[in-house]
Amino acid sequence: MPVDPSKNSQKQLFDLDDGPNARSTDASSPNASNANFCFVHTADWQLGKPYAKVRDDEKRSQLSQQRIQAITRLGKCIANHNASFVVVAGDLFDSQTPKKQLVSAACKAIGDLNVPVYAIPGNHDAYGIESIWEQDFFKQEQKQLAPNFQLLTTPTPVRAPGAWLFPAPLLRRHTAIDPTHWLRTFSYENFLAEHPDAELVPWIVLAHGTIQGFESNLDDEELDNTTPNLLELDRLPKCFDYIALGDWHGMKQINDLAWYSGTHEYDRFPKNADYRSGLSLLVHATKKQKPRVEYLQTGELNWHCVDFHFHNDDSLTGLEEQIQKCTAGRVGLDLVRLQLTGTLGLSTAQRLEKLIETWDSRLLRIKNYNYVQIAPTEQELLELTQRNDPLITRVAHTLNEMRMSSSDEAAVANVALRTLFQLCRTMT
Amino acid sequence: MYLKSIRLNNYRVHRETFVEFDRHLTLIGGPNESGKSTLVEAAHRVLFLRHRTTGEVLKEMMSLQSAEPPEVELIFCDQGVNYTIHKKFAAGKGTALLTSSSGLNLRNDEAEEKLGEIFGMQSPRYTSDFWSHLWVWQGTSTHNLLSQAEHYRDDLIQKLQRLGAAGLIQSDLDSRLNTKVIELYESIFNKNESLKVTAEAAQAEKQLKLYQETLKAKRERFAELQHLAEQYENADQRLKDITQQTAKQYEALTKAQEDYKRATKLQQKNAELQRSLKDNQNSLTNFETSQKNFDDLQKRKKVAERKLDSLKPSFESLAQLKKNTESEYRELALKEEQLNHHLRATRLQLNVAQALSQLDDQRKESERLVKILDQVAMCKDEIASLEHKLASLPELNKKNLQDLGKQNNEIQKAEATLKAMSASVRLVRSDFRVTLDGKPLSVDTDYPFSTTVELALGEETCLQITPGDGTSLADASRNLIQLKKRWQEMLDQFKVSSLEEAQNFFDERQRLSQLMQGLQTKLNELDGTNTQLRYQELQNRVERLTREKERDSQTLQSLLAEQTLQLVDLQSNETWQTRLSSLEADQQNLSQSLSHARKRIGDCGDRLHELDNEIKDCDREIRTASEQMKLEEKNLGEPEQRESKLTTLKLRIEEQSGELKQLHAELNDIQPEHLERIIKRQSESIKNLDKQKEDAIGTRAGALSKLQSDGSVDIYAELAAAESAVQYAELQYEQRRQDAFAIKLLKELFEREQKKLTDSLTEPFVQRMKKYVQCFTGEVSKISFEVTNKGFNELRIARSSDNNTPIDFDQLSGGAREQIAAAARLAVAEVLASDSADGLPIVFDDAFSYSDSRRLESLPRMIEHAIDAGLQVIIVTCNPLQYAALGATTVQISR
Repeated sequence: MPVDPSKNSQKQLFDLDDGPNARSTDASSPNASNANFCFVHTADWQLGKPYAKVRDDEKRSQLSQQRIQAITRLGKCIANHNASFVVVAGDLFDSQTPKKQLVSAACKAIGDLNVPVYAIPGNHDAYGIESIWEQDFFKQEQKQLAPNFQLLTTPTPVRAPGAWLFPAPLLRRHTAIDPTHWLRTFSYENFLAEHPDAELVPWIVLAHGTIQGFESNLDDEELDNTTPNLLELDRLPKCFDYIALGDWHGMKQINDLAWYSGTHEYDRFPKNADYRSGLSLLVHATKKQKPRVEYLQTGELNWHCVDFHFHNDDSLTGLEEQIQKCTAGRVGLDLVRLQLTGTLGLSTAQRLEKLIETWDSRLLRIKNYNYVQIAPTEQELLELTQRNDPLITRVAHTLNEMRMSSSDEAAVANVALRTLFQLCRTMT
Repeated sequence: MYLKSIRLNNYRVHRETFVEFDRHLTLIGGPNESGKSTLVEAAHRVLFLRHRTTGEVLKEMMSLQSAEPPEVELIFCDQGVNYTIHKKFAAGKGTALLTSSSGLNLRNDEAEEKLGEIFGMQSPRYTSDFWSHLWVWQGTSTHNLLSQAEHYRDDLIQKLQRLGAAGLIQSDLDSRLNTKVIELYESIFNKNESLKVTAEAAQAEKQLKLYQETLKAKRERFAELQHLAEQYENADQRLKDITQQTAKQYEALTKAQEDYKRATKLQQKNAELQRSLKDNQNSLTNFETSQKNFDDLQKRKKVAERKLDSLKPSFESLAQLKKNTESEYRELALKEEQLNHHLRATRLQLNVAQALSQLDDQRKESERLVKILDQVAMCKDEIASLEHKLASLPELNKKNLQDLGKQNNEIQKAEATLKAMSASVRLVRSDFRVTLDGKPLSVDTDYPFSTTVELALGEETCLQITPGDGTSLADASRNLIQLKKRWQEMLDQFKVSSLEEAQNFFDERQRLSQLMQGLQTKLNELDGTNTQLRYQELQNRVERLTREKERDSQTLQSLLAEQTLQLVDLQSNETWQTRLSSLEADQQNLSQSLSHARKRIGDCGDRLHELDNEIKDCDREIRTASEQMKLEEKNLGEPEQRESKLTTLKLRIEEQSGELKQLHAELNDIQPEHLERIIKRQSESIKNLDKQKEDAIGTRAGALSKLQSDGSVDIYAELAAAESAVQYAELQYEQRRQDAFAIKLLKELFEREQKKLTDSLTEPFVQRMKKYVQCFTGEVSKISFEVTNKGFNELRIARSSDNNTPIDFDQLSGGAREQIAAAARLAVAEVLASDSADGLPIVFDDAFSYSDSRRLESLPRMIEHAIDAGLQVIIVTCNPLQYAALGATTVQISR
């Protein structure tokens, strides 16, 4: 008869504070306590992420490369904190079919971590015969470059240094069955009978998916936003000491035991102020005690969201200042999502375009949601309509009327008016 | 401005000429070569040609009579000020002096500059085009001055703007920007308004399509990979299912096979049990049967014994009866035998007597028949004799005889014919030896001949004589030969020598035939054949009767000898019959008695036999029953053990029945009758599953091989890149398209507004021009032209006379062009002079040479309109009378 883990001393297992028992620490900080056993929880490396929206090849390559480099930075943290091992809660690769050079680079970076690395397949790199995990080349590289790496594809407990891992691998990109389902029916009694010492070490669940009420809102950077793989954490037995989750790219504590580590390197623009990414978690887990979690800063890129409203043409200076503040004069390390609203005159709109061109050059990416109404200012309208060029004046009048109408040609008329303005400026 | 007077010195043909102009209308007349055009040319040059002019122009102006430089002085009035310009044209020594009533006194270049300022001419290079709108040179009357409005365009537009309430003209920037827009449009769009291949929008669209195709290919590849993965998974799952199913099938097969073995054992046990039960049941049945048999046999034996006791007396009495009857029978049989002998002897005797009687009758008949047969033989002999005679005669019938007669006649006829044609020679006398066909002729002897003969007279003379005409004679001769030949053949055929002999033979044959016929009739009457037959039959019957009589006689004799009977002498048949009937009646009675006796003996024998059989049966029955009883006793055993044996058997049968029932229940559970089928089915199912397994393994391996990545492509990344590229390209295309259509919109708006501007600007001019044109061409519905940087192009006139269809100026006739050009000049002049009280001069130098008299008639009205508008009209013509109707001041230039 399987043991009902819920009958174990729940009080003991969940004798935790309500507030997040976590504190931030810098990746390079030696502050982490090595007195207790600890390991690193990370997820969603999504190596090989194509950043397809970035038009520039070099920048795309740079962004992609940063995700490998972040593993190296993680390695420093591991060394600093003497972590026993690393768990990657899914989506180590961005796709099931990464390229060879990426596989080699990834294996090399993982091998350099020098501690055991356990990973489960996620929805992006779901296990399957077509997946990278089954390709001979990966097996070769893993064997030669990352012998410390172990992919957990079977729903069965795995012994790790100082802990037992209970993986819930995704064997396909999307599954209707909760991957942690097996943990509800597993015979713990037999397991303990077979491994009596397992009771002495923390039990760690590795899962990749979405939990009820907290769906990992995929943004438009994601390729697939289909049905998420739902994890029913509430139905899990109460015998675990930490639940390492993956899929949500922001760091998030779900309950006393369950954490999303988020991705180790920022890969999207934060949607709100609470969104934190580019982190890995250093988990101090003790049997039947609430885990203590520290943040490790592994991301280096800066992703900014700038929402700016133009009240008038003078506001452009404010935007310039804000961008300057964000990027702090860096080049090639920042990505900015601009959401611009308000109205700009024709000449200021031209200036804005030039500025955006400049930022596009300096930044890794500028994603521009430009909702700015470009309309001639009164002065510009006067410049177009009150001049000794009767033909231009008349055409400008007509375009202005068309621009403000609700006709299909309004947008074209707006462009035509701007063109006329530019031509006048350049030809006068 | 208007011209007041001009003075020329040493200018071409003019040594010294002075002409004063009328304020409104001046007509300059004079013959050809008198210098009329030179005069107006001098007026033009003094205004626009610099005084230090050189080269060809100077040469043209030089006097033909004097070497002095040409001098021209023109007085004109502008803005109420009278100006006098005096120029002496010479290369280096030329002078210019401009004075005015307002005290102006300028020389040379200053004078020139001032003139330029007054007349709006800045160009230092003189051409006759200056003020061409006002100066109509000889031979240029049909030129469209509007297309050459470069020099006065701005002034004209300025004046038109002043005249028109909304009259605006596009600025230089307007023009340049418009041109730029058109350039941009033409760089983007084709003439049919489609996008040019090189246009950014078209390029963007092309790029978009390329990206879309790439995306499609990536999606297809992605779908293919997904399909392969699904295929692999499905095959894998199928393989698992099959493996599971196979295991189940094997399990079921094993169970079925075990059941089969168990069933076989149970069936064997069942068979054994059934056999044993059956044996026991048989034993019981046998026992019970034996018991019953034994009882039955005992009963049967007793019955048989009783029956045997009753049968024995009957048998003995019946045997005695039989013996008596047999004795009686033997006596009767002896009597019957004797009677039979008598009867037989009597019958034989009767037969012999009857035979003798019949033989006698037969003999008599035989004799009669012999006689008849003798007669027949005689007749036949006679007939044979006659036939022999007849056979010796030739076989001639009547027709043969007729043929012979006919042939004979033919010969006689032929001979008579030949004879009639034949000739004969008779030698009467001769001195010479006369021969006929070599045979010497005797005197007085006729030598007939019917063929050609040679008659020789001595040695010297020989005559050939041919009787008849030669040919007929030959024919008749040949005919006769043939007839004779045929005659001979006929005689040979009938073996006669002559017709008479033939007739005799024929008559003899007739006679013999009649005789034979008579004999034959007699023979027929005798019916020899039947008589012979009857005779033969009679002979046969006699023989048979004789044989029968002999045989009966012999039998009778032997019978009489054996039985020592006496022949009875009986006289008549009736007696014989009575005797015979009496004997036969005795025989019948005796036979009946014998039959009765025989029947009684038979009955006794039968009954005896039956009794004997019954007795034997009884004995057998008793014997059999005893034997069987002994056997049954053997089966039944000793009487005291029979009961316990029966009980044991019954108990055993009951136990075995119970066991069998249980066995049947077990077998029913196993259903062995289905097991073989189940095993077969399971085996087939396993085979099918194995095949499916092979298929699934193949499919899985196929999918796997295709799914093996070479690591050169990340389809997910490529798909994302392709989708992103399409999105970006769509955006780009939309922007470029919008840019393109913005340019198109600009171009269209510029066109539209330019048209409006032109229309409003040119309206004052068009109204004025219509006024002049209508003087000679009737109602004008529309005059249009395009205002450009250089002038006014594409002048079109729509007249009621042409159904208001706009016609290009260049397509008009020479006369019409001349008149319309004049109208346009007057309208231009009117517009240009609109802000001046002094008007403007307009010079027509022989400007209506193409106009016919009807058009010339309309000229005064145009001039009047011009005068009314304040213009100064100067007409130069060699035929002033044509303009007499104008009532103009005429200046006559003489040569």
